Amino acid sequence: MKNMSVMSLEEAVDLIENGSLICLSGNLLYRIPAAFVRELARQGKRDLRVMKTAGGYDVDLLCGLGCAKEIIAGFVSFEAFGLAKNFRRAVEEGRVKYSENTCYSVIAALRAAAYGVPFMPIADISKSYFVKERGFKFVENPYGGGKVLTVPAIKPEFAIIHVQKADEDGNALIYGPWFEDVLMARAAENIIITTEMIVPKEDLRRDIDAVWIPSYKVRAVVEVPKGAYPGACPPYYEMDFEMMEKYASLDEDGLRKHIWEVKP
Amino acid sequence: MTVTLLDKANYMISSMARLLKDAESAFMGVASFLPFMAIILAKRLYNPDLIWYSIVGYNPNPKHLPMSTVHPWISKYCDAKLQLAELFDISARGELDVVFLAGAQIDQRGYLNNSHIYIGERRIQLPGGAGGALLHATARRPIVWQGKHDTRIFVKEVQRITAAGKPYRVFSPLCIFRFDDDLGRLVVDSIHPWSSFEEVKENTGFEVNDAPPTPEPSDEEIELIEKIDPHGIRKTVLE
Repeated sequence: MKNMSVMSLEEAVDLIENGSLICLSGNLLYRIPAAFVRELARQGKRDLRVMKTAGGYDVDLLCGLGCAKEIIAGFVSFEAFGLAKNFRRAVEEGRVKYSENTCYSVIAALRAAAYGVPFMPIADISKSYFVKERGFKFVENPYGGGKVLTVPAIKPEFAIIHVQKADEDGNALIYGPWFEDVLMARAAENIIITTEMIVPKEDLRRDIDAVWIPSYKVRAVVEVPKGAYPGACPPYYEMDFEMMEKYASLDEDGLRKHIWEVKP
Repeated sequence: MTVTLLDKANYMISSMARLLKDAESAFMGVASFLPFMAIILAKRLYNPDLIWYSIVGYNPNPKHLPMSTVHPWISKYCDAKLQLAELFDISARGELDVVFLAGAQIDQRGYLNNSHIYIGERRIQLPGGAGGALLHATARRPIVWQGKHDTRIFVKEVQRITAAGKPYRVFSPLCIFRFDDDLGRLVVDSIHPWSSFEEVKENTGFEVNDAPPTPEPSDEEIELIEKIDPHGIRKTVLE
């Protein structure tokens, strides 16, 4: 795929095919690619497989509007702001498969993909029920010392990463915690950057110590101010507590209205 | 004895903080108001060298309890950058001393279920155990806590094992359990003064013993708790 660089949100979302495996940036309600996720729903994407260590609004919305068929994660919730109701209902009713992990096994799967190896050995967590359900296997340590648990590589087709600043090629800067974003940028086949602002290269270079996503796999750069809304994107804006409360009370019709009312 | 939710939270925070007097390091995750405050108390009053690993950075020094215990603004108060994946690596290497873990269901072995529960045929989906599976299995002293105490939560055997490990203590609004190595299960270490052996027994799905009352928080502890959380956010976990 050629680097198409700067484009509109609609064009960038159009790159995602139904059934794709995507991973999403941020954590819970922080620096999430919320505008991108709403556009996925507006375009009626289906059967997405969505990967993240700890999801919130993004995962919940995709579950509530029938866009996701599988969630690969360790945690899905709005933290102190309540449960992810749409995620919960979709899993309980069997519309979405929750491939439960622990955050560390999601990280291990991404690490294996990022390192270009088929699996990653991890500490023994085999008493946890999901180890069997996910099919994680022990292998004999070839250097002696018994068996070691492994997690197979998962290589997302797209990492969707919302950042504070990027240049027009997609070199991207993250202020504050990265969560898994730098890792998923290595693991994924393709990257789509949504950014609070596109800045000239010389501006980004002045902040080079925070620029940890190089552009070589970036297929799209989209300027989306308030792209993490109603989540927070420090240091630029806090989450919208009122909107989070309102969101929690929405039924399916309300959710459909929500993705058109909250623009982008 | 009339006790408010704030009083109850204060007892739990104070007891958690005192457990950290000799701790080398501690970690807590999402929605963890009581552990967040216990760590601040321990660092200010008992153990200034305590290392605090946070999801958003290394050794934060926040002045107040935030609505989210993993909010990125906390990273402004950190000594160094620390990414979430590295925190798990620290625990996997055996370098993490205390970890605070919550359990939607907790059994007498100290295993936690945060995955899903069945009521008859009906599946109730929970958020998942986040980092718990790895941390419970690899941290030296897991401290489990719960804001409620009844027989649906404290069970003989959890329906799904999300995280397995040997807890150092288990905190509830009625009592504190510790793990007894000889019995291979949780035993009651202390009962909060507003509760009783009868109440703990009635609300626990496994065998329990009588135990002395939980020590009360000191004036110094309460003063600091109120300074860190003047609006009483901490009580919401007990509602």
